Amino acid sequence: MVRILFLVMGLLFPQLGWADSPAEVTARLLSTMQSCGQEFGSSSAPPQCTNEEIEKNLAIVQLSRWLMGPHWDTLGHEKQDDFIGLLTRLLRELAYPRAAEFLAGTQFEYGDTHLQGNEALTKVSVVNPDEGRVTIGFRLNQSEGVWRIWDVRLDGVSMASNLRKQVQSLMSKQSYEELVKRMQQTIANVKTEEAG
Amino acid sequence: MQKRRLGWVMVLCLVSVLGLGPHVPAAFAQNDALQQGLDDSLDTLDTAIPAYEPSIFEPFNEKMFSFNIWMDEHILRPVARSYAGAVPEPARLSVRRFFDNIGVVPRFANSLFQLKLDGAAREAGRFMINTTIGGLGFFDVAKNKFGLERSEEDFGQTLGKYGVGPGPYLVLPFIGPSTVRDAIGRVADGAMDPKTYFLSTVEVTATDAGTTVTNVVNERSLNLELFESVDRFSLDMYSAVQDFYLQNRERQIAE
Repeated sequence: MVRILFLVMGLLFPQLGWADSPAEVTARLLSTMQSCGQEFGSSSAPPQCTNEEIEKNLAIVQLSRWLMGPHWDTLGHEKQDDFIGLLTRLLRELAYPRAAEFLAGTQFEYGDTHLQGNEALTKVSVVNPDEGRVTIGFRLNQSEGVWRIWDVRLDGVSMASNLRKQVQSLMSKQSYEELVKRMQQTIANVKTEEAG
Repeated sequence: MQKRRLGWVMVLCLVSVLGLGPHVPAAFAQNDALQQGLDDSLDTLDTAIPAYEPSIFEPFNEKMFSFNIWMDEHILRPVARSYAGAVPEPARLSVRRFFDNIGVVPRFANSLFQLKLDGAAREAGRFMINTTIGGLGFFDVAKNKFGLERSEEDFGQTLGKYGVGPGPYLVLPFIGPSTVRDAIGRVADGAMDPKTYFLSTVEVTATDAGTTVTNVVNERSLNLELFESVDRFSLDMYSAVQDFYLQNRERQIAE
């Protein structure tokens, strides 16, 4: 009975503290990726090294909508779902394995977390043996009481903004079909490189 | 490991290789960046996003971007590859340091213009140390022995610091990504070159052409693999480079 009460309270009032904070979400993602390293995606990887574990901390649906901007509502549900799926595949093929490899063997130094309404920024300084010190800013958004990461800012440069610029440019100058073609081509390029 | 570097590093290198514009730092932010807060001007997930607005120079820019890519693919990259095969990497890094050393005047002056006295002092110190015991700048003794880091300042940043907006995005032939403000800044930085006061225009042009070509080939040879990855892993290379350039310049000015 008490458990049910806590569960209901947690669902109704997540802002009271039961949900993970932005810093905790960020730390969990970094910790997962760091522990996976080059084994990410391989059969010998530890059980936590799965796409699903990583995606628990990410706001991919919200990010998809944000990337599309004014074009989102014109797409229709089917194309919206297709785009979310393609973006997820792109992140799985391109971003997660590289990030896991980059973070392996690094040291973290956590900075402050800044809150502003439903937005948060958590800064982490990462010391990588090859790249030196890199300051990474994680942008999080709170939706239904849960904080999820939607942007990574490397040394002040927003990866989400950069991707949005590319998506917006293709949607304005070309078409949704061309955007899909480019995303599929990029995924194919990654697979070719891995195979080679 | 290089092949798997993060995409943004690739693009920043691309900007510096293609661009030769305002220098893109290889080193990353310092620890104090950890304490900076949310940028109010930054979009949030809840922000209504305006429709894409191309630069007024977009048709020209796209042609110049394609031209620069063509030049790189057919001339610069083959030459850089041969050069890399003939000159070992430590020597090429020394050449980079040499060019870096002789470019002291605009960095020193712009540090002063922005009242960054610490930066100006570091540039003066670096030049004196590296030109003497650093063997004309081929060795960065100032950084390695005295901990003196470069002060990454140029006139485009100085203008930005005093409130001049970037103006429309611009892609310059041979030079690469820029803005109207940064293009003006490049001219001003060029005018600070001491040799323009001692040599004739023809001599300055010839000297600049020689040093620029050497510098470009040398830089390209140090980034051969990274450059190739940018094209393969971006959805739209033109807008990816544009956005990285503009974001990076905004950050440099804010620092």
